[in-house]
Amino acid sequence: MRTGHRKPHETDGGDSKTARGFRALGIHKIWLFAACGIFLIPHFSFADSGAQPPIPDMPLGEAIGQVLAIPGDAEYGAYLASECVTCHQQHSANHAIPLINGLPREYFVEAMLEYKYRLRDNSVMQAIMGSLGMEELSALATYFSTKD
Amino acid sequence: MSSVTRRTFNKLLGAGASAMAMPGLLRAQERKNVVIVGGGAGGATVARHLAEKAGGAINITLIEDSEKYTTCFFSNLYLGGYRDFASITHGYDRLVNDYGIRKITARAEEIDRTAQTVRTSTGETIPYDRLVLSPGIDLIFDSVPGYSKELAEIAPHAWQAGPQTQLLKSKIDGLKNGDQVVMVAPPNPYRCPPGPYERVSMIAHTLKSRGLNDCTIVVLDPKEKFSKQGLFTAGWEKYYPGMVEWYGPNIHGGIKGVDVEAGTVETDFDTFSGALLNIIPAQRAGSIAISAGLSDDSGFCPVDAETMRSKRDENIFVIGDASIAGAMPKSGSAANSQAKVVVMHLMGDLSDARVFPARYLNTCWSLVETNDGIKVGAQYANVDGAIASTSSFISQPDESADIRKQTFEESVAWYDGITKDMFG
Ligand SMILES: Cc1cc2nc3c(=O)[nH]c(=O)nc-3n(C[C@H](O)[C@H](O)[C@H](O)COP(=O)(O)OP(=O)(O)OC[C@H]3O[C@@H](n4cnc5c(N)ncnc54)[C@H](O)[C@@H]3O)c2cc1C
Repeated sequence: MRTGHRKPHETDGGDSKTARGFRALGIHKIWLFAACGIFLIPHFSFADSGAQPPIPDMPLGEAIGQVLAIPGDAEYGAYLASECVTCHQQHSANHAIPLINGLPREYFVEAMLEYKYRLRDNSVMQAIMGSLGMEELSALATYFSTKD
Repeated sequence: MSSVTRRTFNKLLGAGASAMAMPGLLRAQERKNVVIVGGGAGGATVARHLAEKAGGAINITLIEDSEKYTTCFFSNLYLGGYRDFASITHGYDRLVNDYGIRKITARAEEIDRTAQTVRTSTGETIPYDRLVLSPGIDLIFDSVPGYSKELAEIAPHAWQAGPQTQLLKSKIDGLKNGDQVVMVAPPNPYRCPPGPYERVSMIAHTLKSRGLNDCTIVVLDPKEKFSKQGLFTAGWEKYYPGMVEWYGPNIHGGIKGVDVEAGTVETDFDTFSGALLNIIPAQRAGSIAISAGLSDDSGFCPVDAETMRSKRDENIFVIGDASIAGAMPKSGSAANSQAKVVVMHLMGDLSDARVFPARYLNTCWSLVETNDGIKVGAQYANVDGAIASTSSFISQPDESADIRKQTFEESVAWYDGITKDMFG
């Protein structure tokens, strides 16, 4: 288990609940993923703003397989996606933020996990994926794969 | 099984792909009424997304004072000369014509929580089953002694976008070389934590591009520290050397008051004169939320972390700047995210739609100089009854120029996206 030591970054105005929130999210995940025993975050060190959950121990390939094996709940995906579409607008003419409607499920899951594993380097997306569990990712992938 | 809350799902229509839009579940005579007060970042988003989900099965009334909405977001870029005023001003035509939303251009004057009605300045009384309040902020003008709503016509705050923003721009454009600008920054909590400092950057940019290098911008801040401080101060030193002076309370000793006619701000330490004063006073929730009895001593409205429901009234949701949203800042991005949670719960309350655990997010982009954008943001969830951050990020001081340019381009795409998300 990585302990998630990160360089203390500049702070951003006293976000004191963050550490607590992060720990609690770990506990939530333990519960959520107890069945498959992955993405376990029992504790980690936290350095104010600019903090992300540790990269999961599980190899990326295995994580992709596990997410794809979860049946995607498209209704849950529709709610979660409503947060994504603020930036990822279907008709946006500006491609600094890509369109994601219609992306194949497999591709979507792989790309999002690459953010979670910080192999892709957009910090907004890394933070979003850092907080999303496998079930959520599966739901989103199913939802977006059916949109055109 | 999933972690989500499941309601008994009435499959009258079958579990089709369009299960989120289920007009068939509500018969015409049972149509429920949702009233939204405030057509800004929070309210317009609720209106549009609810209309999309409800597919005509819910009557949606949007009560907004203005004909058009000028975004505070990117208003600093307007001051910097990067945007024109029209490009940050949006109408409600598509919400009305394409989404079937009833827009009343009036002030909501009184909420009767027992009768569940809202009375407007045009004399209408509108009934609601659920009410959403996203009225933004009111400025507490006298939090800076000597300042007032009337004097804002001379020393603009420009913290509510519109004519105030245009006034500030015209005053900036009228400055001459050697002139000083004095900004009084607001105390916490206030809308847009990085906003005053992005504004300083944009004013400096404008002055520098006009060759007015002997101008100075003095910031008198009631706070010891501010959002993205290291990134802003590094940017000021790099691009605007000698032009920006920031003083926290341990230097100025306290802001005593302003004399707008004389153009001075008095502090414990000294009196500062400016050819232009930009006074940003303390803030509280929009008055309609306060007069409805939904606020606490802080002047903002406590809400349930999972639903954004008012802690004072379960039929009312309060979002955006007016709410106390735990660790989330008061931003357009945050208000838009909270709106999605509210739409889910409106559908859950008024139809048989399922509800899921709330997820919130925020990103605040700021421009320091052309193609040098910085960002800070986080994900949030309900943790033990409070909205707390679950992961976060901030631009790094040693980033490449390419990343800063990319960040700026992202912010432009975000603006494009959020305004479409609000107004269709
Ligand atoms: C200079 C500046 C820069 C900013 N930059 C950013 C940024 O880059 N990114 C970001 O995310 N946020 C930014 N913000 C913050 C953002 O503008 C606000 O947080 C956001 O607008 C809050 O949304 P809201 O729905 O709570 O309120 P608002 O967007 O202010 O909407 C409230 C609306 O309600 C209406 N209203 C109020 N009371 C009544 C009533 N009684 N009856 C009828 N109508 C009423 C008002 O007319 C207004 O249109 C910035 C703010 C400023 C000042």
